[in-house]
Amino acid sequence: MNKTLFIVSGGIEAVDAAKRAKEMGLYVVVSDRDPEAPDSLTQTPASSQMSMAPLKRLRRRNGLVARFARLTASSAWQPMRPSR
Amino acid sequence: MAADAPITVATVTTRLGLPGISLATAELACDKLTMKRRFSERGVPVPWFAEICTVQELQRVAIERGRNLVIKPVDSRGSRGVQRIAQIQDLAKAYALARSHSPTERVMVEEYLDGPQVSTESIVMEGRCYTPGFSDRNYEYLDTFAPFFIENGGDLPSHLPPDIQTKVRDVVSKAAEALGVTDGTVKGDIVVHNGEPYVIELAARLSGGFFCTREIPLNTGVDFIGCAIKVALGESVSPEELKPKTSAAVIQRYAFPKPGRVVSVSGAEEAMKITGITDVIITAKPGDVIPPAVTNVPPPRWCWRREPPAKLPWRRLTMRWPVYRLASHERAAAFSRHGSSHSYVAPIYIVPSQPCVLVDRRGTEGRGYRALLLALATPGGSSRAYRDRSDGVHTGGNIQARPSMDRETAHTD
Repeated sequence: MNKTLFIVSGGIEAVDAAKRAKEMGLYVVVSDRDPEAPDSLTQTPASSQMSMAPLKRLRRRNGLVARFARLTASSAWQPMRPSR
Repeated sequence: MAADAPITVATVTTRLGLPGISLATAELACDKLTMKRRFSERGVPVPWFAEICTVQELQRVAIERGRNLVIKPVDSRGSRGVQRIAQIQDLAKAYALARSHSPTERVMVEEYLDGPQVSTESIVMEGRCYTPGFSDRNYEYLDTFAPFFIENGGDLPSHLPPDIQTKVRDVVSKAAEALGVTDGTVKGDIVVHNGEPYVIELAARLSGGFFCTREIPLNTGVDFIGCAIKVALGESVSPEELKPKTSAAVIQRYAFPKPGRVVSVSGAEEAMKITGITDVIITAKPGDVIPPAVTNVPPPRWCWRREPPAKLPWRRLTMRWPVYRLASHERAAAFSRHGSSHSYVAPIYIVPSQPCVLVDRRGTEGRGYRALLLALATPGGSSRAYRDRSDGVHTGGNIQARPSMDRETAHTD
């Protein structure tokens, strides 16, 4: 099972990190309170729900991550097989 | 990731049992006052500092210690509300501005130490601190934007002598330990005063301004983000991976346009054709409003304005740069709309790679760098676009213009 990288804040500079994570074969989840943030402009695939579930539970239960206006797992960053 | 949200990160990692900094560390990193108290307790050198609760207290401190002080909000970021007292007449206004940028309405002052400032970026693993990121911060517009602090880029590798760099790295390591960072990343703001480093701030996160994502890899060949991701995942990183492989020259500059509304954008592709330019990042769109440049506050809109200088021999080159034309009648409206306490982060990041950057330690610049400098918008209508690197170490306020550059520096209005 691929590991998931959760990036808090999906600004323009997070794009580089997300791309690097994808190259490393990771599944990427990004949060940002701005729905127009560069990292959250892609559709959320159904398969992402599972990986985001713990974070969503956390938010729902405690409101601890209050700044999350949106959680997305970019379809552009679907897990890739690491190059061998 | 270029966002000051360590408490959010620590909350998530703590609750989900993931590797990362503790909540206590995150809270220290988000409060400059408690951070500096901790540094003082642990013997990490910091400028003199004190909490200020009233304007009268500020006035008393200014009398007792002199005006060589900086006032800042305790828990803001990006230089918001940070002002140099020596260049302020109205202390009450300065206090109010700093306080307005603090979510908890707390203010502090600290001694202003002159000297070169550096940014560092480190990865901490099992308590050991590795610092491949080391950049000279560029403050050539310090006087132009006084009393505010505007950084307009950085240069790598650092011009500081190796022994000073070693001292800086040691201080960063000590500061990370004091904050309790055992596995993670730290971004340091350090000033070298009279040959000794002092910690201005240490952030328990990755840097912004494309320092960790682009500048460090270009300069050192270190895959800093890849290593940081591994550390975040609890994977091991070998010290060899963090060891610089190269020492390529990298220059990054932000452009500071005057307020107004952008009516057109053009020339970005042409700019990229200049040899050695690796990135020209523009986020502005026609219709965006440029607020005044006062503090490094991320704006809702960023843009860059550039009008071709008329009297320059390099005009042909500068004409190849992106040009934003502003409707002049919009400027006054932009000022009044945003007030004087808001600003923008410079929107353009220009990172030439080694083949183009022809600046050596003696201050010899070549065509590419000259074109780069001339292409940058200069606030206030004129700019000292070059700082003297010939002495090897900057001392306080040692920002000078080379005569040859002065004659050719762009005047944008």
